[in-house]
Amino acid sequence: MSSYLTSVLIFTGINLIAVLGMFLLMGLTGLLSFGQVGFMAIGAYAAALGYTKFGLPFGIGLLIGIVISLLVGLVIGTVTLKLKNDYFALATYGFSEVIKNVLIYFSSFTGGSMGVFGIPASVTLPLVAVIFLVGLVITRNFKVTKLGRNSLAIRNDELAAQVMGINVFKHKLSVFLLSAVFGSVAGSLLAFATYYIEPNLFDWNRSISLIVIVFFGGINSLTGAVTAGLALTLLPEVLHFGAEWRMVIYTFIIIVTMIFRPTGLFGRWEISGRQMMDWFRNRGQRSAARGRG
Amino acid sequence: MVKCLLLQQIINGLSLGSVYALIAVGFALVFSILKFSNFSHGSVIMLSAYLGLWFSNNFNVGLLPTLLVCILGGGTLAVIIEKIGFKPIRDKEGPLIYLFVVSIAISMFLQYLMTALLGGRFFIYKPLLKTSAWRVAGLTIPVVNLAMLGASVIALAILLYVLYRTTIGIAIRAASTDLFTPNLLGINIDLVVSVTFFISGALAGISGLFLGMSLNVYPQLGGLVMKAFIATVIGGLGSLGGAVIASFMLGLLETMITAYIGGAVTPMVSFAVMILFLLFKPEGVAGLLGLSSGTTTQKL
Repeated sequence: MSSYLTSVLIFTGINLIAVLGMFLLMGLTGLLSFGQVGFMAIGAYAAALGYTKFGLPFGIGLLIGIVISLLVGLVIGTVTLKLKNDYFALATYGFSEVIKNVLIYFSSFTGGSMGVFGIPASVTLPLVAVIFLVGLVITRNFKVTKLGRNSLAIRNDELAAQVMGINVFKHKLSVFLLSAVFGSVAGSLLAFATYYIEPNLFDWNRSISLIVIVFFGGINSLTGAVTAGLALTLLPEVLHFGAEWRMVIYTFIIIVTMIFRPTGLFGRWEISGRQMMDWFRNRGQRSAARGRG
Repeated sequence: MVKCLLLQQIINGLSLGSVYALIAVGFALVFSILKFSNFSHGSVIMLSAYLGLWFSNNFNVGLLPTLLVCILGGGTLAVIIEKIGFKPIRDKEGPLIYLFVVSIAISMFLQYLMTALLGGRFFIYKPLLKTSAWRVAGLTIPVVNLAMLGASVIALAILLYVLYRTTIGIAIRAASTDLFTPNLLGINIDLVVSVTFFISGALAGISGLFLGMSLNVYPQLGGLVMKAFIATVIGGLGSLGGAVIASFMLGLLETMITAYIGGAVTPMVSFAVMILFLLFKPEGVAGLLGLSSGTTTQKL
């Protein structure tokens, strides 16, 4: 496999891990958040500074990133999850802006807007693939168990969910923290895949991309989110779009999707082993019937 | 000298506040009716700034004709955005968060489209005013900001007249309490929404022209709507009077922090203040001052 293709696949995989977190938070639970990039930044800087300042290996940096993200997420989540819709979205936007400004402000430690150099590119495609698959299994299991149903209940009617005995705030906080871990892991991987990170890597555009992918695939479909993530990360790369036109196309896609098919491309459809078996079996029967006829 | 410096900072703060106020009122007006934060307001401001630039340079006209074109252009643009982007979702009775997402997407779309078409460069208005600043007793008073303050006051006065003395104003106020009942009573809700968007867009057109004159024209000009959002929240959700007062408070606060502590912490403080208000005083400044909160139905 050419090294270009490998690196494209690595970045796609990292993006998909972040998409999984966004799917849990926004797709299933209905919490539109611009804070995911904040957790990506925390993960990236924890891993990168852990290596460049203290010589810690990637695995330890990744874990430190997760711990910091959980602690920060606990504080931010407790404060912001009491807010509704737009206000939650904008408060989380404020959070990611604050993280960016903190990284720029404490330049003696974080390198400021110059960023952090000299990170070894030790992230390989198999590692990203394995972490993505683990994340996928966690997300899928979350969706099909009681946790996922609680999320859907909260998304559809918060009051009704509360009346049914779901601890809405606690559940939201758990999902927020879980998605923060996904974001942080994606950030750590990103740092060790790019050699170099700077605060502006984690800006508003990256948040928008994640939101576009989840809405485009369909907020109810994990299959949709992953497919949309693959398509929207790979296509611009293959077609060599400039950054501006890429964002023009992304935002155009989301406007058209929201107006004409607000449930997203895939609606509620999920790919499953049993469906595929059924399809093959039916095809077998059909061809057998055709043979008889 | 120290006193002079402080006075200068207060003047700067008030001019910044007048910018925020004009944006915040247009923003709060749509919020009070459709109950969502309309971030496409920023792109109307940005496009109006380009429109005014093009018009004043091509036809070589002064401030007033340009202002008129910006008002009409901004209003029309806002109505077009409503018809294309928001009406289909309203008709399907989609969740409010969809309107919010579409408004952000539209604003990003127009911003990147302008960047892709014209490049990220700055365009400069030819001087539409005779003097750019007055110097009085060691103080600098920017004329553009003064004009903006004047335009804000006049625009708000006209807005109040329309809201309280005309039939369409009564319809708008009725719609801000409830969209469904006025419809039953025979009010054409689509028309009311369109008029609201036109007024909001016209205010955005005024802001766009003056912002373009004081800050030059570039695709990210509409980003200032974030400050208007903060001001609207602090002012009390959808309260016009609260939004105006909060805009000036925010302008003063930001100028003081930038002058005496440092520019890096300014956005953090603004967001922190907003979150504190949301958590502990969701009725905002309007609630603190005893203006009834929520809709446009209260007096300034």
